[in-house]
Amino acid sequence: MGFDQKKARLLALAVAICTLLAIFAPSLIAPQGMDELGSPYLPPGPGHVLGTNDIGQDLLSELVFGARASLLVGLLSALIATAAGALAGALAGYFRGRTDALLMGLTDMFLAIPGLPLIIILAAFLGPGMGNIVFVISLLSWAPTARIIRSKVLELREQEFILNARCLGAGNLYLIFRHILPNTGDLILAKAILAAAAGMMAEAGLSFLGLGDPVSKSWGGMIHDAFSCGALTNGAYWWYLPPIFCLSLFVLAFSIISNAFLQANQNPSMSAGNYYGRNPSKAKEVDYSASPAPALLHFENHSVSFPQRTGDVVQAVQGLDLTVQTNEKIAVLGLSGSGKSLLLLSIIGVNLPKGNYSGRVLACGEDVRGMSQGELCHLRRSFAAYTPQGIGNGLNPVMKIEQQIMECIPRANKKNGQTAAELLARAGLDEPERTAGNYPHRLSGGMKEKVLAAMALASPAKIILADEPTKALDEDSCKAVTKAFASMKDRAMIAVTHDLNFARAVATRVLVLHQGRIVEDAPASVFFKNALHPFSLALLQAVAMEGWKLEEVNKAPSMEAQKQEACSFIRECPFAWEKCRNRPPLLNRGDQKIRCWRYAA
Amino acid sequence: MRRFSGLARYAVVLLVIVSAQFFLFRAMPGDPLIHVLGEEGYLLASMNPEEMARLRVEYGLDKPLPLQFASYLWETAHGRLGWSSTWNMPVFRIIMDRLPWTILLMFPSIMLSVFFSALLGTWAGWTNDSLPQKWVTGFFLLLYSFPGYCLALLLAAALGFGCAIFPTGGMVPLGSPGQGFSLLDAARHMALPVLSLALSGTAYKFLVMKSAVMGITDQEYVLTAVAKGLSPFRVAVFHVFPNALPQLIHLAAMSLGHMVSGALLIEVVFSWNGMGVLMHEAVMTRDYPLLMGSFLVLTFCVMLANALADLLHKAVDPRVRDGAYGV
Amino acid sequence: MLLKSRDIKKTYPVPGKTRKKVVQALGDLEIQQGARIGLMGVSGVGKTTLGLILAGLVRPDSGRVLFRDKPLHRLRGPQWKTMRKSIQMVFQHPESAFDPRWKIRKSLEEPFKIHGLPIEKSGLASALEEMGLPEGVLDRYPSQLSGGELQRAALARALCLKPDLVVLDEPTSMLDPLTQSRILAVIQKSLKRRNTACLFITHNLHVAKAVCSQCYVLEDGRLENLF
Repeated sequence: MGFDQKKARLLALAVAICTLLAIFAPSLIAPQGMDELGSPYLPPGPGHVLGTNDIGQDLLSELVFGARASLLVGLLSALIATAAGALAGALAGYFRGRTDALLMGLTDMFLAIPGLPLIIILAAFLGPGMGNIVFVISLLSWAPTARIIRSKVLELREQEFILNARCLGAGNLYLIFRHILPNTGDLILAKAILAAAAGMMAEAGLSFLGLGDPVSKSWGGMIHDAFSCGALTNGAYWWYLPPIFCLSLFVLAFSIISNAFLQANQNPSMSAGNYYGRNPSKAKEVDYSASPAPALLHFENHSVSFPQRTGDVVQAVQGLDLTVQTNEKIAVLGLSGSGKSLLLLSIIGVNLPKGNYSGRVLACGEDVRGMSQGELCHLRRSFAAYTPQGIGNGLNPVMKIEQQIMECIPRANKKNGQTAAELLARAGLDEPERTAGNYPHRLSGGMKEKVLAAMALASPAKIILADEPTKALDEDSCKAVTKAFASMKDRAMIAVTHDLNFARAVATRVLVLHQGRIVEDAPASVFFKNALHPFSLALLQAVAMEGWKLEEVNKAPSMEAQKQEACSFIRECPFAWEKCRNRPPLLNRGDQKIRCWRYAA
Repeated sequence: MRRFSGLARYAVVLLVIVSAQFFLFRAMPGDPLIHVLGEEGYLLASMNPEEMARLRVEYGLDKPLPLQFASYLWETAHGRLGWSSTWNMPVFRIIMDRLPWTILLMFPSIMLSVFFSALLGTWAGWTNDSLPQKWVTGFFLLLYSFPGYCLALLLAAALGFGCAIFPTGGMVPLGSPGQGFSLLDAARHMALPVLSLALSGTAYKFLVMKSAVMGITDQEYVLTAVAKGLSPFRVAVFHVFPNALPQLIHLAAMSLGHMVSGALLIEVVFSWNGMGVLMHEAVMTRDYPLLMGSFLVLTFCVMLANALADLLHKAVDPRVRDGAYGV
Repeated sequence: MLLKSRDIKKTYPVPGKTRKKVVQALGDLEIQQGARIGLMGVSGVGKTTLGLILAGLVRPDSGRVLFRDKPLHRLRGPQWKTMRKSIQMVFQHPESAFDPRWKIRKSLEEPFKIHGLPIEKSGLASALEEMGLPEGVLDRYPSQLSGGELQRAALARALCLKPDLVVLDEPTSMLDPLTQSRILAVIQKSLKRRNTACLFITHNLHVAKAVCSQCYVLEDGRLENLF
């Protein structure tokens, strides 16, 4: 399955050439015609490379002509079945309502019927002949395609560009043929290739039962002949092995090509490498509670970059130096996509997308990146507790809340520990007992976030890593969640947030990131009174809750960024001047650190 | 979306299939009596016009079509599927003799394939980057492209005739007169057919299960679980697998039709006296009532299993229990 | 009067739920030429559905929508075509606002093609310029742009046919605050310049206050005047 695009394309080309040759020019490849008879049951040898069958026909020639029959049936039935399935799926998904109910009822029926028995019945009724076989096989194989195309169309239909095009005055036909079908094209092609493989298999099964086309014998027919003439018992292996292997070779090639098509269709950024299950090795117990001289958490020149396909390199985090002390609460502000979540994840070494990582992340003096799987588990368990966003599906949908919370408590602490309900009550949930026995899908976003907060409370971790805890919650939930997080007095915290109220209530220190760099680092009290960096000012102004003033930034057109060296904010900065063409260093000004030339001495 | 929910849906599908069979019979060119009597029987009977008229009355073919349809439905509902002229027996009784054999083959194969695909699929999806995983996936991909009966042929050739370890046919009914019943003997006869059916069933389920698990691994709740510091094994068993379980049940139900098809062909290879061989013989002798009856009974069994899977699905997924999906 | 609606009701099934969802907007909603009207309400109250109905994309079960004193959902032929030119809508999720297979240029040319109008090369660039995007964006695919850039491009597309009314369905709620305020400023400026009316759907009171001159709130199935 790990075929890359290039190899898959070569394979597709090879298969296409074989197929074309077998279908249109079998007599060119086949060494003999089917009417030339030699001695029967000859084993493979110089005259007949693959030997002969019971009436003395050359088996290599029969194999070539059989390929023609097998491939033709497979491709034709795939063509018909895919066309019908795609059409049915597109219509059902696009028009929905009654059309959908009718077509999908039909699809469900065809999916539930055992395929081969029905094929046998129909073939028996209709009689042999290639046309009939193609018809019967396509009748049975359109349903899965219809199902898949329908769900893709349903998904596409809700995409806003479809609504937008409708809003611009586009008609149904225009939408189906210009937007919807082109966007399902890859999927249809992949399904068609799979259907060809399935068609070949079905034909072979039918022929094996003796229901195939007697005029043009396929691979299945050869297997049938060999089996019914007792080739199995009398050891004529050369008769049945080649068709079996040819059949499965083609089916295999078809599945690999189809798979490669499907993978090309997927968004590459979605399939970031998850290394969860790798390298399980024994833990070397690091005692995080002993809290030695080194700081709780320390980033040292931490950089992350992602090479793109185009050759560019996206710098997500650049040269980050940061020290977190015990009980310090840091709010990280910044635009979306400025590498904030990555910062949190690199502390616990989990779910990191593939890229270049450099620098060191020290947890109590131990480098996180050098840790084994077991050590990382221990780190996540007793050092850092990560809470994902409550609006996402951060909670296991099939496990009770209670169990999910209790999992966070290490076995040693369990006896003297609290119950899940107590923890939920501490996190500010109104009905902790009822919630504890519930499943996540019955909870609202705010309640889920509180459950996640309770999970952080349950764990013995020294530092809590919160990813936008108040995102997309209504005002009351926001307040409750903020309260829950503010109550965690005895832990350190790094919270990525856009919510200034949250930052104000919880944080003791504010960190502003712009394009992967710290641009301002200040104690919370100072920051909210007197933020200095132009980007911080813009941020504060944008999210300030009172008297929102809309202000368009007048770009300094002469100050277009020369990407790497210039200050990252130069394009939008109202104060940009000549000096900003060089990146400013992090300047100290009392308690504050600012990366801006305006504050250079 | 779906107008019929749960069991009603399967009932409707069955009804449609039963009706379709009736009208297929009637839509065939020629006298419907041919299909009842078989070609030879029809030829014999057609010598005598009085006999023909009598038969017509006997089979109810003289009545108007809706009445015929109604009585056909009534008969079918009571398990009277017609008369097999080749066997000279009621179709239902022949099928009831053969069906247990097919089930004997299917049941262990399904259990084995579900078990192994669950185990290996979860493992392979979870350790997505490892080398052994790639080899196993490659193996199953290869297996997937082998039709079940081809695999059976190869196994029969290698282990049955080549090394003569296992018998390749001649399974006799348990407890038939003159034969001592031996569990070992039964197991030896079952080994090869069950192995080939289970292997080919596992291949497909493994591939789907693996990609399902990979999808689940990307979900945020797995990140939460890993971030809690649970061991990879614990995450896989308590967080990944339970979420893949509904999909596995659905998959097992959906692939049942596939397994039936595979079983029929494998039976022919091993001369296993089940539904497959029965249908094969029925095709060869053009015994349409028997063919139709077999199809109907098989479909009924598959529907029944599907309905069971739906119930099971409800039991393992709290979201479905709450009707959040409208299944 | 540009658009006027009264006592709208729409019922539709929600996948996965047994009960149908009922969206109700009892009361009058009026939009004058060039007015900036806000529509607020908590999530799930049916703001988006109401927006789709007022944009003529969804037919209500009952109630009246008048567009220039003609029933909006009964327009046919050339009148319908004109209406489709005069009412545009911009949605919440910028990342799905463009066909992923098309370059931005093709997507921006689409409205002209659908209505059979000539495409001005400079027009596209100036429309982007107005939204604060460089011309180079035209030759990029949607996946290569950020959410803010995409939403700007979507606005450019919605405004390029010079509509009389734009329905904006939470156009900035998925963006970060800074980008949000920048885009809101752009929206406000270009609506003022063109004297285009807008219906701004949002759940954020501050946003509504900043952009709109008048605001309705949808609560318990009724439309009330907020300010």
